[in-house]
Amino acid sequence: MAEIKRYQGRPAINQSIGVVTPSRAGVESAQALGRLGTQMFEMAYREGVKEQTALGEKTAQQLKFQIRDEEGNLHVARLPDGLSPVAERNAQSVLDKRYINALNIDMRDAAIRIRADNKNDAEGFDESYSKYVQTTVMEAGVYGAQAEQIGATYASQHTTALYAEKLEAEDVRDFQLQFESIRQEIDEVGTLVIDPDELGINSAGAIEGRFNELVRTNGIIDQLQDKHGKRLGITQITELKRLARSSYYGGKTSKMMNDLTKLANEQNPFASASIVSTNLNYMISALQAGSTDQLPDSVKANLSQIGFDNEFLQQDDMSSIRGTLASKVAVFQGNQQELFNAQQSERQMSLISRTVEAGGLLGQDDADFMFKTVGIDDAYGLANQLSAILGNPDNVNIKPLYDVLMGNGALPKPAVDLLSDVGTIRDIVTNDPSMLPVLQNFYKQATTVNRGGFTTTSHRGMDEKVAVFWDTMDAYSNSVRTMSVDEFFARKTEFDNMPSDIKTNKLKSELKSAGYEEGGLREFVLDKTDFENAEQEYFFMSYADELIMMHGVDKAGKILKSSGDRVFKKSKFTYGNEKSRYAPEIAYDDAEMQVFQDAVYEQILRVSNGNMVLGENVFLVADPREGSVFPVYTLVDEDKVPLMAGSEPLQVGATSVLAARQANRNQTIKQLRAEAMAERERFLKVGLVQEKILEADGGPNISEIRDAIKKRKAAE
Amino acid sequence: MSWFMVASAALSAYGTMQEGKAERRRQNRIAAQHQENAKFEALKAMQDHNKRIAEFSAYASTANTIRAINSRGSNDRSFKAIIKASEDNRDTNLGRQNLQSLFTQSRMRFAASDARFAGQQAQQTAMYKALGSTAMAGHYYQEID
Repeated sequence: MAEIKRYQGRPAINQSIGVVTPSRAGVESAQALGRLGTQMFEMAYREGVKEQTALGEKTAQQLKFQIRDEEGNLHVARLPDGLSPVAERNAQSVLDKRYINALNIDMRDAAIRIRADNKNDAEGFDESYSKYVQTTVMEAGVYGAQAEQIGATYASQHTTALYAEKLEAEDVRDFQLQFESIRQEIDEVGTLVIDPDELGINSAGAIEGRFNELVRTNGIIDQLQDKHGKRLGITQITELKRLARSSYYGGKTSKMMNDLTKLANEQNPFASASIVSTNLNYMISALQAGSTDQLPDSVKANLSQIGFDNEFLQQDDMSSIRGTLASKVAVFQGNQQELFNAQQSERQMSLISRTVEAGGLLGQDDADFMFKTVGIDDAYGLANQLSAILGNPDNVNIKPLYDVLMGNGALPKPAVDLLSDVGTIRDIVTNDPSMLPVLQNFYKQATTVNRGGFTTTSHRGMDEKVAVFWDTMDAYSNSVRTMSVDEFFARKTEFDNMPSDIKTNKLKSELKSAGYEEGGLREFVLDKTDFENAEQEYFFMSYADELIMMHGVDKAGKILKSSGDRVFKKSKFTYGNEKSRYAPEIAYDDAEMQVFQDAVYEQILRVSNGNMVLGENVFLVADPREGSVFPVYTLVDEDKVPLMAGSEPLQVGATSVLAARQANRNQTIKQLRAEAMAERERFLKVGLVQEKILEADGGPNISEIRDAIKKRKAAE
Repeated sequence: MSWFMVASAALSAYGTMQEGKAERRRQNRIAAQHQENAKFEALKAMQDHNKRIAEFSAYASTANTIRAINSRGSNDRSFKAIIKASEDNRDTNLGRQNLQSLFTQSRMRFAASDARFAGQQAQQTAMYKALGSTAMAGHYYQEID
């Protein structure tokens, strides 16, 4: 039987197909968005940080703080509130730096200050500065650690430096002492050798030994170099030795010069100065040449007596200092000349003073010398001292000056200028109006001479114009002042500078308004002065125009009248009854009038047997050409006929009076010369020429040096 | 600058949150697929069981036919023993296959559950990140304000 097969299909079975991984696009998109936000934030943050950093730094840089207040308390600098943390952090770092710098400076300055208070005292500095640092650290708060570190640094530096300085100072002190000791020894050797003792520690041999000890190899000066060579310049040792030689041989040269002075005085006391000067010149040339071979034999012999010879000049160590010694001798010579000149000046001054004391008359040169000696060289100098001189006539120092100003001789030039130079007077009076009455009184007192019961006027070597000027000033002072002193002088200057045609027109106008005819200056002068002769007329006419222009007609008239009384005097010896500028009573005082009359009679006796009497039948006629200060007179009879000795007219001048003055002075000079010689003898005997020079140099004298040496030796 | 920083910080946080959401959505999709696969695995096990039952029925029918041909009675002990052994074999395989399927399904469901969990965690993480970056932004902003 046939089998029918059944369909056997392969069974299908469902099964899973795995997992499909979903895309991450959404996730990544969201991630990108997040990153974008983060990056934007970071960018903004970085910008913000940058901004705040700058703000913080700026704030800290500009912040003002004071590290210490006025009481010295330390203050910690703080940032202002309101800063962001970033700004604050940055600001704080900058502020810290600044504050630490300031703290550093403060502590450095304190260290310097404390060090200055503790010179060469390291322990003292350490103690003081440590206290300061401790206080600062406590007050510094957050900066305490830095303060401690800074303080430690400075303390270390300064303490070390102070120790070093102390050692250095001690070394320097030792050097200075040693150096000064050598200098002192050099000075002593140089001084003592001038005048050595015969025996003992100050004998010539002992001094030479001290000198050799200074300059020998490994001597005192070389020992200084061994110990303190680094403190000495390259040439200082050589210079010290040279100084020692210069001092020693200089002292010996001084001794020789003293000896020379004594020797010259023994040889010829009246020409000793000249001998000394000549020999000193030869000494200078021998020192320059290094030998006395070229000197004249007489000089050589003279100088060898004082030890100045080739042996002295040609010593081993002399070559380098001969020039110095020559200079020293030249200085000595100059000093001697100055002393000589000073003595001469002193003698001349003494002579002048005695002349004044004796009531003698001085010439202008002597008067000038006296005033120059006391430092009054010109009118301004005298004006400064005038009140003191006039106000203290009894003062010992001032009396000679007062006597000269108020005496009878010529005034010194400063006084003449002060009273007669209008420009000078204007300067002085306008600067100090109170000087006007002083000058007026000075003029009156200086020119008014009391002749025992009456007074007369002396011109004292000044022009007559001066009298008019001072009368003008009197009129100005004694009247109602219509102008100040300045205006007065301004008016005078204006008048002096005024063109002549304007001056003439103005003058005519003034005179016309006062009732005088046009051009009537002569009428005005005659009206106001009653002049008696051509001499007076000429004098008054010379100044009348100026006076009218300055003071007006009335006051000018008074001034002219007053001046006439001063300038013109009646004399019983001159011819005629008219007043004259040349009256001998004006020129001479009573004693001199006697001399003058004697001189007149000497002339009269040439032609007379004794019946001719001055003032009765013999008269004087002045020669105007000789001036009014020391006038020259021709002798005439009562008819004004000149008296003749043969063909020579009889004349008398000031010669006899001046001779009398000179005779008086010669006598005084003789006395003074004797006194001066005696003084000089005494001076040479005690041998103090060198002492005078030392004193002139401002140094100690020999006695003081000797005393100092003795004291030092005793102490050692 | 502050408004810009605030906007930037907000954008950053928003992006992070979105990233978490996107990841969760992705993980949910993966979980859904695993869930589907588990269902398919159950279906496959059922189909395999039915197939094996059908194959055993065909064998039993063939064996019964052959027994008849061989003139053996239905109570033939040999025949019964053979059938019995076949049935035991059949049951053993069915049991094993069923067990294997259950394991597979269980694993797939675990994968689905794990993906969902991962999605949840990703979202939570994103939220934390956003919170963190916002806090950090606030801190930074404070630094410069």
